[in-house]
Amino acid sequence: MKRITLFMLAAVFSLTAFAQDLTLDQILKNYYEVNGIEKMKDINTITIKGKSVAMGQEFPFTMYKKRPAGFRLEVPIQGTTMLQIFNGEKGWMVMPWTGTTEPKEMTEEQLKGFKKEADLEGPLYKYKEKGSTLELVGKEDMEGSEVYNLKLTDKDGDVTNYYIDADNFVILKTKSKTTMRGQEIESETFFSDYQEQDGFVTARSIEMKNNGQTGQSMQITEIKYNEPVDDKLFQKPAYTAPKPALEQKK
Amino acid sequence: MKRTTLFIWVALWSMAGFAQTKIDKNTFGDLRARSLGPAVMSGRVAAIDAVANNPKTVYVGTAGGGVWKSENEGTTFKPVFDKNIQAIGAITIDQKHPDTVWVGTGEPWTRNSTSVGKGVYVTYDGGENWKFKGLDSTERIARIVIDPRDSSIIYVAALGSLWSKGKQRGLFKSSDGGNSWEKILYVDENTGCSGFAINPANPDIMYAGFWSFRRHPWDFVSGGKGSSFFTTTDGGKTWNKIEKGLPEKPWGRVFVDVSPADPNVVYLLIEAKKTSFYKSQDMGKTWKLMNNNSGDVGERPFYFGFFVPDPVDTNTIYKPGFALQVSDNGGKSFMGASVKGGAFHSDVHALWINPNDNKSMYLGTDGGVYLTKDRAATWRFFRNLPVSQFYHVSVDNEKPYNVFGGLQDNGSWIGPSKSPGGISNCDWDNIGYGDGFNALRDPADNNIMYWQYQGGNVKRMYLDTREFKDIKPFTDDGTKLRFGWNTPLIFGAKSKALYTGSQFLYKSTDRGDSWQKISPDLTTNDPLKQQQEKTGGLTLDNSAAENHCTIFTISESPLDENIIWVGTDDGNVQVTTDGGKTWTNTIANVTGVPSTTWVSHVEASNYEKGTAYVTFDGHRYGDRKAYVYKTTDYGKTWQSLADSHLESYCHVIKEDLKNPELLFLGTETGLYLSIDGGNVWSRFTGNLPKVSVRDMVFQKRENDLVLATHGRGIYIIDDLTPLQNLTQNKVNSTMAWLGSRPYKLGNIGGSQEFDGNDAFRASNPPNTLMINYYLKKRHIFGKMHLEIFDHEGKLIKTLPGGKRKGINRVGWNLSMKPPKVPASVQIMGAVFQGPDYPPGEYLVKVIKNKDTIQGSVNVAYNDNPHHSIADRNLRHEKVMQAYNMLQDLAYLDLQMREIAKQSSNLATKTKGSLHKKLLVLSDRVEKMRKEIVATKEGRITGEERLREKIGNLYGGIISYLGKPTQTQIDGLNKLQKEMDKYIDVMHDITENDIPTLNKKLVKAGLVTISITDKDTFLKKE
Repeated sequence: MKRITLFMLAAVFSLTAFAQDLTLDQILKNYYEVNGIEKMKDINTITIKGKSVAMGQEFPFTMYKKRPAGFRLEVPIQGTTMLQIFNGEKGWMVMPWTGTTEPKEMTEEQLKGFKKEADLEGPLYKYKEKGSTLELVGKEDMEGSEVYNLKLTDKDGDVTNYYIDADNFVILKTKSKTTMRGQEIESETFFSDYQEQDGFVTARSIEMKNNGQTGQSMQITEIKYNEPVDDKLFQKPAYTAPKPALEQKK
Repeated sequence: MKRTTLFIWVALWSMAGFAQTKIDKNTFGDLRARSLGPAVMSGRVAAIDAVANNPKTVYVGTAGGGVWKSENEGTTFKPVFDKNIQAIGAITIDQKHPDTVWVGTGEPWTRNSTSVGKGVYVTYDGGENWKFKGLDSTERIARIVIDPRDSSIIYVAALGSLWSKGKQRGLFKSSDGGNSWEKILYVDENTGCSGFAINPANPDIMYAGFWSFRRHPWDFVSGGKGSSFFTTTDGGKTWNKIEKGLPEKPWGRVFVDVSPADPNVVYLLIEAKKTSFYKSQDMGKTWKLMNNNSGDVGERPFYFGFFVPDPVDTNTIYKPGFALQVSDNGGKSFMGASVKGGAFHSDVHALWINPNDNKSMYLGTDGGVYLTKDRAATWRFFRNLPVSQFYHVSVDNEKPYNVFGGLQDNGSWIGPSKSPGGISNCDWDNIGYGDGFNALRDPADNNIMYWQYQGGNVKRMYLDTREFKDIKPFTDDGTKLRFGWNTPLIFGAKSKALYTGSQFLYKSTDRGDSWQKISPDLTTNDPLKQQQEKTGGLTLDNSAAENHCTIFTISESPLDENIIWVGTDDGNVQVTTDGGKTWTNTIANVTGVPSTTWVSHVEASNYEKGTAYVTFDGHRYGDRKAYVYKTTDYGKTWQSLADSHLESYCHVIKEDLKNPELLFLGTETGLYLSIDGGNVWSRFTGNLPKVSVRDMVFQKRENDLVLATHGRGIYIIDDLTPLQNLTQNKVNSTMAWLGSRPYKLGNIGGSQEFDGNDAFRASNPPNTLMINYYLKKRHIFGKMHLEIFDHEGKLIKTLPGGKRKGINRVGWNLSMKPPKVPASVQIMGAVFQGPDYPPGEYLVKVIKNKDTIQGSVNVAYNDNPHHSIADRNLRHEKVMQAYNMLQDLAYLDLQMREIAKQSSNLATKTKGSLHKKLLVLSDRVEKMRKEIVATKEGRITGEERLREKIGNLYGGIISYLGKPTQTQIDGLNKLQKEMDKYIDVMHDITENDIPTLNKKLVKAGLVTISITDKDTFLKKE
């Protein structure tokens, strides 16, 4: 609680201290400080639990991230589990509603999003080292909030705009354009319910919108840092094929 | 202490700074208008350009609906210009950098109903972002040309203002990418540049056609001394006025273009006493008359004054007009281009021909865009451009209610406000022809419709047989009746009588079979404004579009049928309080409005007899100010309600049915709202472009507002409750409850259609209960969520909150959690849906850190003639029975899996009889499990066990709102019995077999078999 109070105060100070427009580097510096990005280097694993809401349905989920680039998402559905796994190079999905739990390998393009997710500091941090370019588009109004619009172009050419609150230096929205099979796919994600824990300030409520209307939202109920996470979780899931129909008859 | 001080300081500061929070566009937050389209008839298109080397990328500029871009040859379009003015005149892609696109606003097709533009815009990223590039008084732009040598050199052919003199017109040049402009050719204040072309091989050679034109509210003049034609060979430093070999002056509209196939060949079209088409084969030095047949080249020059030379064949010229004609001999003779009977909407304003394949063309008409692949022989219509131009809108009281309206050159239509799977083009029904205006359903007989076409023509129609009867008022006393282009037709709010107006007001109580004249001439009756037989200038064009000194708007008081307000197109505001016996012209009491300014709307108040609102529209005199007035004393005094937020002229005002302080104002540049009776206005931007809002109507039962836009079809703001409750006090508070209309349980079903992506489909209203509240500022830090409690105070649902500034809307679908079902590799779609919570009142708390606001929401069954409340309650009961059975079965399955797993596991650690008994138990429960759950893997196994049988019954009962079938009810009972057998066996196992085994396991020093208890299982996520 104390930390939160202090943090909120810092935010209030920033109101007066940074009233004028900042340079890109100043914005990033504030963003790193407020969100605890620099301290992320001491973190090896993150375990996130929460629930996801899509089309009126709620699904609990657990997400694991582990350095260097492991990512795993588990969503239980009717006694089976949907899985999305990324080991830093390859990824697999298990989609039980297709009638099988056989893991399906992800395509290079599907992996792009997971690569970003598996990056614990986030794509803005040390963007140059990651082969990206970053541009301060300007200060603008976003639904009544003053934000800095930062445009990140990653090494694949995909563009993400980060809308960082000009008073508090947390990300309020991202707008990303990804190229999938030659087509540009756009998405908007809104971040809120920021909370401080263990020195990190993170959004606990994430809403993905399509043309202004909420498609899917995620509510994070628990975050654990540096919990032991088994490397096996990031491997291709085991699967035994069912017997052929002929044999099942017997 | 320090902290406290700081806190107080901040609090004080904020109090001083924000004592009264003014509304702005963010105040309305998440509230969104729903676009109904339709795209079935689409709307007027003014300009088209496509990427020459990739014609799948095409931009469509519409007369009033903005710019639309497709990257797949029209399979899908998206609007890319919604934040700016929606009237488009010219589009030019920089073919060297196809992501750079120039847009000139304001269409050059100068019909009476045309909207106005505001300058030039450019995008450098394919339409994502637009930069305003000035020339804001040009009003209409005919053409933009980029110098082929240098993309920073831009020419703009500006027609300029239609209804007034204006100096910002003529030919403009920018040499710095539009940052500054030089007017390089100008004639006079009445004459604009209507045609401009550049020699692609030598861009210093240019051609410019000038047109002298003017509209007044009562006539149109095409032609005058300013109309002329110029050429230059030095990049515009010096211009030569060319008259030799061309028609006798005066001229009207002049258009010129260079053949892309041979820059020596130039074609020229001049409106004159005999409109003529010329060809030059020497870059404009000499001209040869090719054609002056009025049917070939003379059709309505103000509306079709252009042609398109074929990019490949110098002798092929396309001449758009009522239809599309083509000449293959340089213009000597023309014929219809659609030789295979290809059909498209009449009135062609834009044509783009693929320079690499001249069989492919995009065509823009009064009714949307078409594509041909066979040189205009046949056409594909783009059914996804909802740029329809409504003049008026009305609604009925059906369930769901329908929307009615008439459109520019597209007749009259009916469409539903919702439809299974969304509202598609096929849901719309055409009921009338011509230019459509008011379309009304008879308040007492659903089979009777009224619709209009231009000039006050009214038809009464039987919907079932489609017969219609002409019911236009007629007089035999020798008086000429003057009906406007867009004649009013309303049902009295109180009397339900039918009203229409010429210079006189007419009332009918027998559905138009007879009319009672209830007023004298209410107009100025100025004879100088009644000479429409002379309208058109060089080319006579008396289509009723210029009829004047007529009644334009009528409103009967909802409180007293004897109080009737009338507004005329020549500036009178008349009122009667005795049903028409005596009339008072109150216009003299209105201060600040120039005399004879068009009265665009009168609206009698819903609350006070003496109160009324009126809007004036001066744009037809070149005056684009917003004029909004209110009287509370029958027009003796009028108070202006306009404020500085209003950008342009006004078409319509509506006073909310529940909150008299809430006003809706339809303007040329979007919808504005006031929550304080008109002191402060703010534009409503929720999914509503900056489009001309021409009419509005409330649907009282649903508490909706329906908008008629002239360029983007119909929009609905579903459920006005949050706006009705948004008082100034609430706007000042940090957080406020806004309420919502009662939610009606019941779905409208889906539809099994897989019709691709190339047709527009409107969304239905949200199928969830919308919880509305207001936040003064965006929520960023700490927890924010919603809690919902049933009538017993039990927390039944938590929802993530909306966090944005202004109105937030959170949907609650009223579903319980889906039932728990036995684990299986086979997912059952039927049980993804949880049962609905029953009707009643629910308490909602919005919790933001330590602050909470709350309010209640009401849930009822939807109105359905087929199901009694008892039937619907029975359905709920049976759904819950199946729900509980699935959960019981899920627990049974869990017990089996736990026992099987633990006992087989323990078997490996034991020997002898205990080992055997554990194995027997494991096999027994595993076998039983296969009897209750489908366990085969595979996509379509067809395997059905108890789980699937109960699941299907659950799905069957829940998917119908009424009484379950007896078969379903019996089926549930039968399956319950079947399941009970397994429950009994499991009971026996858990109560007898397992305790016995457990004793032995304890003796053997092993862990015992333990089973999760049912409560823990059901609570687990």
